[in-house]
Amino acid sequence: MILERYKSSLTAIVGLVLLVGYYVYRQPLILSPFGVTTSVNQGTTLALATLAQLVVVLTGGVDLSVGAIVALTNAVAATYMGTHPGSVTVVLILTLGVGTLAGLVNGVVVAYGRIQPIIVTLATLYIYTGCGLLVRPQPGGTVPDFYANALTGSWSYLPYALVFLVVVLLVAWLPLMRSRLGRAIHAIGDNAEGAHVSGINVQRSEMWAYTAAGFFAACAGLFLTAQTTSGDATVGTAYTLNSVASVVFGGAVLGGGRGVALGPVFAAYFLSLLISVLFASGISPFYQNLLEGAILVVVLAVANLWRLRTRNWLHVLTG
Amino acid sequence: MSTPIASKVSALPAWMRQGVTISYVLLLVLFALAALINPHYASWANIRNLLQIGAFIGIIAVGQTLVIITGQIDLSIPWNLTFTAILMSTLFAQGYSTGVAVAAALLVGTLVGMFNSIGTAVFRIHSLVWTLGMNALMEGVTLVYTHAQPPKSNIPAVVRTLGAGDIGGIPVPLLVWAVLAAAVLVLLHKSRFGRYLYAVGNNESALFLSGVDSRKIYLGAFAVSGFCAAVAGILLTGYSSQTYLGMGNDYLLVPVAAVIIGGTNIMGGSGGYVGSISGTLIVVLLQSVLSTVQIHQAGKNIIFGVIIILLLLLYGREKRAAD
Repeated sequence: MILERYKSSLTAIVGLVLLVGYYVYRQPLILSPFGVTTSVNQGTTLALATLAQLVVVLTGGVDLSVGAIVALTNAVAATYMGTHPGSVTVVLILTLGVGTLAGLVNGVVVAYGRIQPIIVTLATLYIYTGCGLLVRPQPGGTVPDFYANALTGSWSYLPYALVFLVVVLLVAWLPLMRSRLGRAIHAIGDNAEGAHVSGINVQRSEMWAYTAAGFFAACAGLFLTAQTTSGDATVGTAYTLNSVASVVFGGAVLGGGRGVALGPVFAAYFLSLLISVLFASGISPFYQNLLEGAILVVVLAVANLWRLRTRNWLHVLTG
Repeated sequence: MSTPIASKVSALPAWMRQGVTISYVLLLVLFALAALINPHYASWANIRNLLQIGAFIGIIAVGQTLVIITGQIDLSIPWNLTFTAILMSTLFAQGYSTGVAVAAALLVGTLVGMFNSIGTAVFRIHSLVWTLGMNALMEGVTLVYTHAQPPKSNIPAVVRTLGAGDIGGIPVPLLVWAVLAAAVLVLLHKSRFGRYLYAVGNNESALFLSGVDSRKIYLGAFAVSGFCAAVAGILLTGYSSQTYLGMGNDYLLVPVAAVIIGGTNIMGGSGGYVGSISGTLIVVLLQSVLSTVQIHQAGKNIIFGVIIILLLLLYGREKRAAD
């Protein structure tokens, strides 16, 4: 039963294991505490952004503003953080609040405005990017060392980033998915009308799903702040696209109802590591954008190759 | 959520509740408001200018309308447009004739569009994801092709005329737009392909069962969209007498917004280009009004996003699950 539930994650897990194996074979030095920590740090922002995307995808929607919320919270955190532990704590809560609020706005417009999520979040992508630029017109800001170390340091081979991710999963993700709301989210994505008939408040559940996405995106923004020790309001674009790609590669279904966090999180680390591996193999950074785009397109195509072998195209159409 | 306004709207006859009608009324109201605040808006010089800028968006909206009617979306336009424009001016700078340079740009744009449909129609990846991925890929292609340097500007005279010239006082881009608009209206409403576009958007399985290969319909829609992106790229190059990285950045949301404001359903199956024309003009008018207000670019982004959402709240709403 449990295995069946997590079967969709298999591709991403196998992919990551093979990739790590190849990386270690090419660069044995990567197995140092420093190497492990650096690699994990690189993927953690995307892993958190992927969780944000996944909540929304489970309802059958899509959130194109995830990257913008990551950038906005990154800008807010780096701009107001200061150096005092007290101010850092206040700004942490403020940042989570800003991200959650941004998600709530998405949720209210999508659920109660009854407008397609694609177009709503495309519009809020502009709004949140604009807000981020108001907060921080130029990249910069101050991030105290103790904050950066707390999230990106490591205890021997154990990166704190992984601890942070696991804490977010245990404290926020799992309780959310096990709750009544989590079941409602799956039910809506599977069949919104059925969910409504079964007495689920579809609109309210959708609203909270987008709100949760805002919270997870803010977590990603906070981690990004620690990783880059600066704020940049335009950093987000890549996270929107890559979070959707991770969700798809991780085995969740665009259109909703099916998906667990395991696969998408592995897929996020897979995508981030793949870039590092390519550059470790001596490819000029000049080709970075081209490769990132190509990898994405190839990964998406490979994940859907099975469709070419289908005997009855109608099965594909009716999904 | 049956607010008093909603119930009042429902009392209107059906044809007045259609997105197309509402968008034209909205266009007139917005234009009247703008002209009241600043009489300059009603001048021919200004209208001409708005139409000329609108042509670029309107041309992209030709392809985007077809794609959205099939229930998909093309988000690869910004870098498809940029790459084809840069390809055209670079080929010309390298000594190829204008004809070859323009034809190569149009061909590449169309090919990118066709590639979009492979992911969407064959691998069945949602076009939202696939075309965004293609956009990223084309960005990479552009950066490698130009070595991430601002490309040398060498614009053929013909292209300058296409982008910035006028015939009898009417801007050439506007004429190109008119021709493409007429063509797409005929295509949508008088051809078999047009009917199939709506059919794919409404019920792809039913179309498949009636013996039509829906993959070819997607191929056609995305190819037209890629072609239109290339046309817009060439015209924009002529208009601004230069090509630059990021020249397509403004064309991600704006054409989609124009199509949706014009009453085409983002889920596909209904709508048409008549609405997209008014949608385009509304968007251009809004942009123009915003550009006269002295605010930071960030503020403009915010206001534009908010206005799009408000317009959609006005008439882009879906039925509730309860209905």
